[in-house]
Amino acid sequence: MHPLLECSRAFPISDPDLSPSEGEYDLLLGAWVDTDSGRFLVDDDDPDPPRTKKNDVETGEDQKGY
Amino acid sequence: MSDVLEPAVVLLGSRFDFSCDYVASHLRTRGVPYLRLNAEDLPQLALSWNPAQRHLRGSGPDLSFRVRPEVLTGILFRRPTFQRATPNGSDSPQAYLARLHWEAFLRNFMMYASCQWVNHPAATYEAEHKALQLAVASDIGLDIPRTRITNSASAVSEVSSSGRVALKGLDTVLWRENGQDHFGYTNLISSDELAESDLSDMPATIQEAISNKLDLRVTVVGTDVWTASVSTEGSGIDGDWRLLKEEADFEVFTLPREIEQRCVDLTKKLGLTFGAIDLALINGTYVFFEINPTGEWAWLEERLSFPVAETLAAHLAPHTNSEGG
Repeated sequence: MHPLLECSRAFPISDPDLSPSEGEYDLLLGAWVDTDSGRFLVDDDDPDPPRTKKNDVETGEDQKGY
Repeated sequence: MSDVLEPAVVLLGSRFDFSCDYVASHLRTRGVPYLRLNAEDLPQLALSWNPAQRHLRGSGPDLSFRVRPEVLTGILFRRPTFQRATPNGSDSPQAYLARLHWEAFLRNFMMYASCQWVNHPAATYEAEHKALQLAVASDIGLDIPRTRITNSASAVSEVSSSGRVALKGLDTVLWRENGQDHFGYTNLISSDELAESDLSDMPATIQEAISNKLDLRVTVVGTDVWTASVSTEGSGIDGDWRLLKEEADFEVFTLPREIEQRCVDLTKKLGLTFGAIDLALINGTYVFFEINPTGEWAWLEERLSFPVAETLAAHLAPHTNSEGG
């Protein structure tokens, strides 16, 4: 086996639901929105804003993964 | 009668690419008409593109738009420039082909050649090539690790100096097999062990192992530069810091002006507006590892207040300002 395969790390297959726990995606505004306030979730004073991919399963930053 | 959106800026991403949300927020504040198209949302829309006029019409739930080159000033492109058929992938043939065709659809936005791209797909495609990045970085005057891209184990001795070497894929190492995902990080391994192995089947990147380093993530947008150091418990991280990403600490770091300029020059030389550059500080020397044309940055905006989104919005809509004028 090639060393690149031997040295790889294995993870359980994970296809998590990345949807924020609150709010919904607004097709017209093009962002996740707090349905009560109408604010973009990324603008909310929320200690747990929608997370970027850095905090998700690694598939390669350039999205060349699945 | 519904309003037809004619966007000045188009954001091409996915629903869960929250970086796009940050940029959309700033465009909204600036009063810039923008359209976000996510790959997974496209089947919900009725789309029709006239390539002779470069007019794209679309309609869907609560949305009706017409993209015209006469109005368009900027495109934020955060899609892959090419994709792979992964072994043991779960797509049906139709789902697989649909995915490929929608990505091709989004790449065809390249017909809007005169607007500001962040980043242009062709430049992204080229810049993602690791050996090319290292060559250009070296030309620019950035120090790079001693490196060989090789399928010959005999090259290990040309790189090794500490008994260890760094082994990386020349491309993303990612596959799915037997109910598991496999991903290749940068590996620090014994030079002797690697010199005895068989690399002939595929090329790999072998670099001198670097220890006692402080990793730096440099984010470049045009001529603006923001740098964050990556550490854990006050110390640099041995090997690939992504393996410790939950425990890593990010702090604002000030690069020497000449290193900042080289990062700006590298990004520009590669035809990019945006670049996420990985450097390391080793015994007073700044060493270039790689640049990612579609790298993440929103976590740095959240933690360190880097105004990346606002700067991107300004590049995409250059005749507007943050007060909505």
